[in-house]
Amino acid sequence: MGDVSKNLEELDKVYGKCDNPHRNITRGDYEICKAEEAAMSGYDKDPSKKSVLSLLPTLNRQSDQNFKYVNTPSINSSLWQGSLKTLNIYPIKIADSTGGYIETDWIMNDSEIEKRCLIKVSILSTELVSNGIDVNFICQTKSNNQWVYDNQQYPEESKQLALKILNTASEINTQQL
Amino acid sequence: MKKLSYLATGVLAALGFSSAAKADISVSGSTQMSVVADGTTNNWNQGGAVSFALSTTTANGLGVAVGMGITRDTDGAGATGAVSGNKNVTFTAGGATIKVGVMGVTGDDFGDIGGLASDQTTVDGANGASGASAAMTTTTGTGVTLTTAVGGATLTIGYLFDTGTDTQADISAAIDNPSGVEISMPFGAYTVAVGYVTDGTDSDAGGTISGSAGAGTVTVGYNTVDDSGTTETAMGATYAMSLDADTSLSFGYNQSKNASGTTNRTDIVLSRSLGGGVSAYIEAANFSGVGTSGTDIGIGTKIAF
Repeated sequence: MGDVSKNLEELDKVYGKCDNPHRNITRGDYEICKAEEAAMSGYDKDPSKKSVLSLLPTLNRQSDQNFKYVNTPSINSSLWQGSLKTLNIYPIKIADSTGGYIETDWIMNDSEIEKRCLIKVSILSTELVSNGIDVNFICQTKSNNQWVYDNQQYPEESKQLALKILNTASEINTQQL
Repeated sequence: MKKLSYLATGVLAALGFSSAAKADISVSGSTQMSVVADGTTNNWNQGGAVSFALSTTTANGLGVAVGMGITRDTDGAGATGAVSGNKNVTFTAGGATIKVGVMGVTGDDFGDIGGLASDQTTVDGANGASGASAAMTTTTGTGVTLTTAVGGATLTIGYLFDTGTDTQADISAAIDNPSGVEISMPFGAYTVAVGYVTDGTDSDAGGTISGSAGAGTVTVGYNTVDDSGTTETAMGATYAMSLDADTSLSFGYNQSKNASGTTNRTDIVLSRSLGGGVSAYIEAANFSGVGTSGTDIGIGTKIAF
């Protein structure tokens, strides 16, 4: 048996989520879906897709004395700051602002010393959108004095943490306006 | 889409992550406004929808979801408002999905592709009216579907025990019960999707093949319908590509044949994301053959909330 959700996501990349033949969405939801799809920037879509312009030969910028490189942010700053603020209570092992990736160190609790978890957060969008962040929990248990993965998914916990980060990011964004 | 703050609050307990919060309500919406010209008249149009997605998870991990919405038709004069949804329930468990209630027929219309311009352009526009099409008589009813995955393939089987869209269905009705199947699977560098449905009298079979081509994605499809002994066919193709990070260009072609004759349709859609859920577009659909011939052109914007 496979994973329906994963397969549907793969089909979304081919047909687009709105026109995925297995999603069978209502007409109202279809119109909302098409509006969301049209509003997505290239960074939100499949990053492996090349644009037509990328096939054109690039100019030799080194000879242009007046050319200035503009650093375009690749992630949303509110989501980044919201993630850091939310995870501030845990030790951070990786914080890559360029790639939009945060990973905590192993988190342990005195009441459960045979278990530990870490949290991975990826910023997926340059805009403050609810699907612009991905949260994943990785947990291990101790067996024969060795740490082993518990092979469990934590979708509810991931969803709760993502919502908390989104709320914090929204507050930061409001303060900045 | 924004999530309402209906989820249980509280700081995430380290390692003892709370599993008390299960219910979730998500709201999303959109509006579309445009000017549509069909060679005779120029109309301003607006419409949209709000969708509520309600979901929860039982203690043993069974996911339950219901959708409901409010729509204002985006196409044509006298666009009505309507409440929709809450006519089916989706259960998710163990990698499979079961849907019960009012739904479209499984396996219907596969391969009938090529129409890319929005309804606000093609329905408000006068062209394309009364054109040829391929369709079964029964396309909606009350029934059950099962969607599951077999490796990289996705399989959906469905059965309707009553036709119509009422919230009450006669499950003992003596009708021709449409049964259908849909399969999508990767096939080398391509993705193949096929569908078949029959109610014992009418049948619909079709499929598509999709794959990368240059900087975009090409999809070709074919559909054939046996409508009470009359054969109706539709074939089409689409090509979609990105011009830059925010701009997309799509082409579509569809040819439909029935007892009335043949209708050809050619679409082009240019869309650009403006950020903040807003996009602007210009699109055109040209119709020739049976039905009203001409070109509908729409220039407008869509906003997703």
